[in-house]
Amino acid sequence: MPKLRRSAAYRLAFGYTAVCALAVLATGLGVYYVASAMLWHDFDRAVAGEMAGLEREYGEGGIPDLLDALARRSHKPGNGFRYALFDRSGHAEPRPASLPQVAPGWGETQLDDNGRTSHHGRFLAKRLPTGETLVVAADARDLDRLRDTLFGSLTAGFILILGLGAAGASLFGRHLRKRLGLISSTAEAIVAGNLKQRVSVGPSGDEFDRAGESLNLMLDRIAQLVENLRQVSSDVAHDLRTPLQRLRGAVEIGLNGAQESAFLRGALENALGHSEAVLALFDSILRICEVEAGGARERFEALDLAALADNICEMYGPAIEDGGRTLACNIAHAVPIWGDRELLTQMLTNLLDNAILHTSSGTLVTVSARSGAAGAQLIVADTGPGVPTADRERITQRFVRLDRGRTTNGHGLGLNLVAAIVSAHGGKLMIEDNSPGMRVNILFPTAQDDALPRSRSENAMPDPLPVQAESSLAESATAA
Amino acid sequence: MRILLVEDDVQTALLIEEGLAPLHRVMHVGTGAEAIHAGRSLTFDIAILDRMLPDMDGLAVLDDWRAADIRLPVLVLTALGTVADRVSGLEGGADDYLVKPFAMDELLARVGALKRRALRDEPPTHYRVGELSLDLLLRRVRRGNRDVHLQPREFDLLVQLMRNAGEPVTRKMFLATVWGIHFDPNTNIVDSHISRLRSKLRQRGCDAIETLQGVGYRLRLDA
Repeated sequence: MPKLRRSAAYRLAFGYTAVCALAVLATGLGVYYVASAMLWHDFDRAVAGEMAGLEREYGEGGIPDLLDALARRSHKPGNGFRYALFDRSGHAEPRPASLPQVAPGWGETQLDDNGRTSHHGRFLAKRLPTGETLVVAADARDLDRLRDTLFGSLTAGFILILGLGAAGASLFGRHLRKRLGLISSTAEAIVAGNLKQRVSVGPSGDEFDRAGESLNLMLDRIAQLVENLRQVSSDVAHDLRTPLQRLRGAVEIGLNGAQESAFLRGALENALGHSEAVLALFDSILRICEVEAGGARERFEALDLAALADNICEMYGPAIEDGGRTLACNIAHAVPIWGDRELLTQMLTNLLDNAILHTSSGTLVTVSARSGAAGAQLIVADTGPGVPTADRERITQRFVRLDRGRTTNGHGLGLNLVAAIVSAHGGKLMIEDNSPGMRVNILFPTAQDDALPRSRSENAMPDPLPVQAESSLAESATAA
Repeated sequence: MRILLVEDDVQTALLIEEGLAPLHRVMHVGTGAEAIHAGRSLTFDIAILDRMLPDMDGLAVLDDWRAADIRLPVLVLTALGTVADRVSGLEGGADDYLVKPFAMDELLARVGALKRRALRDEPPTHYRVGELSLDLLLRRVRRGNRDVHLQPREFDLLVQLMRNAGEPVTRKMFLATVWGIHFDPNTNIVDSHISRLRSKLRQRGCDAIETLQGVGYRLRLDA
């Protein structure tokens, strides 16, 4: 029982049943009392009516008339009334008295059937002006039986409801407990370490199923995040080994080698370089986590992707040309999108960094941006070695680098960050064949029209960038 | 120059003090309460303020000073490097923001730039270093009496160099002030732009941009 009392499901079910039973009980009692009051009222009226008739007889002809009437009425078949008249000294007329002598007023009495059985009756006694007492009684047996039947059926109904309610409540409580138990046992299993456990969802689509589905979705999302975190941790642990090993090597060389200052300086500079590689790796990971955590949306604004791309082209132009490559920018007049300026800038710089890192001198790097029906399109393409078809999916994953020897300077996070930024903007990233070379094709949803004019004036007013970008474009075009 | 260093990590504080000591007088405190007290009662030229203090957020210290109308230039140092953190730091009244871990040269260069910025009430419209002169309003550069024709970004780079003439300007400072980006691209875009600026100045007989290995660039005062 204490276990039952602790169960909210049972408490709820039994409480509800108790409330229902009480309501039934109150209704039943009400019906019972109202009905019996009405029946008794009618009964008393009949007795009083009989008394009034006899009093009329008495008023018309005195005691002799009354006695006549009494004799007449007593012998009338089917008459349920009994009569008695007592004179001043208490002697009954007619004799023997079928009723005991009573005080005037209403009362209850026992009526006997020729001395054999006795049963419940009700009387009205009145003192007549001449001193006699007239008593009229009626058999209340039928009324009692009716009342008892009513009471009995009400009690039976109440007990039935109580029984059915208790049975229903335990079924309902058990059902609730079972459904909720499934959820809590799943939670317990997860706490115990079985992250794959899910709430079983029935086919009915009721509230429990829906709650179970939501919980499962939540668990899936959490599992995905945990898996992500686990993946990152192991990737980081793995990928930090190389630069840390190099750092350690540089320090060891410095310690073990000749103690000349020039040599030591070289070793220290080497070590500094390696430690910077470690820090850069950390920065990139944190950046990706920041973007993937999804907080970026709060800083989104309407901006012009064309102006942004122009700015980056102008920024990268000299460095790309210094490496013997060519940069061609094919950027439309205005490409409105909704996004984070800093993230989009980082996305473009990562793509251009990649284009420089993985291609050789003589490569043509193209940046194009335009607005189309499908949204804003940004393409960064190069005429370098390209990416094999089989690797195109893989290349945007974390820590994936296609040069197995890891000879180039990347850490395999550049395109992963690009993918994270594109996805944070609701865009689509496609790695394509530029034949020859690699083509990164990015589609962004267009900014809502209402947000656009405001942003344009914001962009144009304080910042003379677009004009400068155009002039530098002209320069890079002639240089090309 | 008197510098208030607010940093709870003793190791870091010692390193910073060591780096600043040859040129500056450094007072070091380790908690926000001490920092508030020191800032309110003593006079400093610059404060270097760590964000994660044992008793409060460094920005709360900054809030207190700004509320007390202490216009001390503040460089906020922090391990919190997300965009949102940087934005909240700068909006909170910091004059500059440096994310840990940082290079000591970067810190020194920024402290110097902060000091020079604080010395000027209004940004000038005209700079003159040696024979080199630059007009911000006309966006015109002259060496002696000959014009130097620069691309807009080259002009912006030269502004930074002239504003900090004789002092180092780091690549990160260029990236932040000229292009407004707060991360390090893999490609050394600053060097390529500087080399173009340098060769245009050389055509006018000026070879005053020095490369500081591993740090950045400096414009010699005899330009």
